[in-house]
Amino acid sequence: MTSTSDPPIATETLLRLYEEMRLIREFETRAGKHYRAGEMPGFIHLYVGEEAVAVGVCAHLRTDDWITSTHRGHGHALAKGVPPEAVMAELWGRATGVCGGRGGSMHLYAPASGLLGTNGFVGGGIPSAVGTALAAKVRKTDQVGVAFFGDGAVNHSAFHESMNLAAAFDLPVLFVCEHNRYATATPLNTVVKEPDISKRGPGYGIPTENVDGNDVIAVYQAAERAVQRARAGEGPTFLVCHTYRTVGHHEGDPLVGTYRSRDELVEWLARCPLKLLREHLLSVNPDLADRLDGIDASLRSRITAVIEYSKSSPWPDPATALDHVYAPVQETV
Amino acid sequence: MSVREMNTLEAMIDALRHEMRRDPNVIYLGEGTGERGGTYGHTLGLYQEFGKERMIDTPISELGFTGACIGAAVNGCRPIADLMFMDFAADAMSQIVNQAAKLRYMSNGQTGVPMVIWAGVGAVKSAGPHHSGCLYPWFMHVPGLKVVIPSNPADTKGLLASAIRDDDPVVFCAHKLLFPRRMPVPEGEYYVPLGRAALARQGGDVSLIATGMMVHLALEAAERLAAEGVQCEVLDLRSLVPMDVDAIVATASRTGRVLVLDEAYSPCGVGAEVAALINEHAFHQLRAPVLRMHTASVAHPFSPVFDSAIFPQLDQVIEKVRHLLRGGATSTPNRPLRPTDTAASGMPERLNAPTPEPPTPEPPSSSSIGGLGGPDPRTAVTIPNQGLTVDSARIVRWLVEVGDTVREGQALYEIETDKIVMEVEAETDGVVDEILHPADTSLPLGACVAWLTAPVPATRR
Repeated sequence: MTSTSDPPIATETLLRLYEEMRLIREFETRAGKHYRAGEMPGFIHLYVGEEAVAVGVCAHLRTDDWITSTHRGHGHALAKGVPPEAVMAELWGRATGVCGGRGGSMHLYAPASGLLGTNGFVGGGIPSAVGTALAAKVRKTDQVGVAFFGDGAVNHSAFHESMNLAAAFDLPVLFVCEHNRYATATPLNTVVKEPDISKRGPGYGIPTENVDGNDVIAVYQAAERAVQRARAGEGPTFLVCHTYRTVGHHEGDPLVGTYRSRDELVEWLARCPLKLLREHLLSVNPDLADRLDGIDASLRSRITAVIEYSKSSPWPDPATALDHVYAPVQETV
Repeated sequence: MSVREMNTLEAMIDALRHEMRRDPNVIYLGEGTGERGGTYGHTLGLYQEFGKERMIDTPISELGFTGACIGAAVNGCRPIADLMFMDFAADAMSQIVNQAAKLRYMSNGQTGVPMVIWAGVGAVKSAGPHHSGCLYPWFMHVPGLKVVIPSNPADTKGLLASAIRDDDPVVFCAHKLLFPRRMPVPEGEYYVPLGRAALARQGGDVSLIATGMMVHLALEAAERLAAEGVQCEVLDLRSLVPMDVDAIVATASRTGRVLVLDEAYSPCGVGAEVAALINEHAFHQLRAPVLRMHTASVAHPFSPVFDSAIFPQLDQVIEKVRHLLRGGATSTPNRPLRPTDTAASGMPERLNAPTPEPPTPEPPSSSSIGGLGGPDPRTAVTIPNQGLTVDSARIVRWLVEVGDTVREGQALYEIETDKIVMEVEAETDGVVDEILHPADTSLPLGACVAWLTAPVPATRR
């Protein structure tokens, strides 16, 4: 937990970051449990282990800033302020879900919170994030667009075309790579000649930082600089956040075995972002233990209620299956 | 409503100018559509009025900028993504199909994607396998997209304006052969609603249901058939999604005989869709099976002699109509290719088109090797060829006079086309012997405008 040149972060801010991360951790852990029990349709990819990235970045975003996310996107949705009830009910396919049960885990949209989608396509949301920034520039707002994606996306044309577009037009974008080392089960270094992803930023003329993605303070500080640059009209930033998912690719996928080892997992579990922040806070002020325990307990019961709400929510009406393909017919044109 | 004569390009620019003036959120992204004014001259003057912030010259990144238009649309803009050739849409397809088209539905109606995907379609001047596509049936298949294909300048203006104002993604198919066509176009704000076909000609015997340039082929066939006493109705679909089912059913019910004419391929195409709709809604009014003519299912071959072998021809259309009048039940030898034809024979079936004569080659543009028995020993100065969509040029002014000695590369005269004003340079040294056409003459490309004689040799010391 080091922060060299940056100003110290207020304890209350750090507690808020802790709370956000705990919300995601509790949400994901419990969702996984109910998924494994066969209560949810479809399949889900959990964000466990990577919470510091979404939380550290979104802490600097306003409601009217936009993010695009990935197949592993519940954490981004929550960090951007989408109510957990609406996200969880969507995972259950219920009418009270954020998309009324039409989207599900990989298609969570909440424009009112600035969430332009989790995404079933690797790299699928990156161009849209650039587009929100383009509109911000055209409309002369100071909004920022943030694209979250994994290391699996950096070999997709969507990444390259979007990085170049954003750089060429000085668009207010953050490209946030959650580098968790594996595209599903394929280690990055087996499919690239140059495994240092951060070298790609300068190639596009984009200021780039390698960030400890498990250190929420480091992410918070890097994102603060990047968002300031974006709002000041200085263009995009590329943040390569090194992190690790301490769960399988999706629920039901083995944790270790074929492509990664138990030792590697244990190493990263020791660097759990919640654990790191908790230790840091207690080292500064041991009296905070009660506050932290209180946060944990309150979020446990919060998520219990969220799950009850989701499970007991009504299903969508199948008679509405054909709604929302097109805009309501306009009589004016 | 006052009207002004415009060609299709001017009508398009007129629509864009109106919409961009009306709504500052309308932005245009394309390759060379900014300062250059578009590869077809279809955005000329807009960059000068609206600036680089709104007439955005993009890198060659179809996926990237089409995807960016989605985000921009959600964040308050009304973007137009110009893919230049519809063939290039393949590079952007995932963003169009998986993101733009589905977003309203996936989000449960929380947000739509008000954007236009503009693309030139259709075969023109041997553009070949990668620049001739009419791939709009791809988009017709995708819920959430709308698809329009105007057949004239006025509809181009009205449909484009409506597409920009629409709250859903609209694929706008601009047929490249339409660009030079002229007609009176309503001035000021003018909208043609999406989803309404237009009756281009009335008649009680046979219905020709057509799209884009095929509307003009249908009208030509109808004119010829009228001389035989056969009255054809021509329905211009204009909008493929939503499709004007009422108009289709009405014309099919009136005549009982329908031929669909469309330049895209036939499998899962416009003809198939129209025929199925008629089966469902007007089967008992039919007096013959619905027939269809499409481009043969092959990549567009380059050499111009192939054209008549793959595109519906006037004589074939007329023969198809006569066949319909005879009941149309048996297969005819000149039907378009179907996949089964290929599967059965192992190779594409030849169409029963007369073997075309190769086009007479243009006389060499320069007869500089002449003087030994050629028709004219002088060197012809001709209006240079101008790419795919320009047919003619106007001489703006002459920069030389008869008797002037000119050097190779020296500007001789200035021309103006739909796209540009440019100077035409001498291909060789010489003396201007004769100027055939004064300034302000409009001529087809390739026309001879002056003659040069050989330069007077410099005196050697």
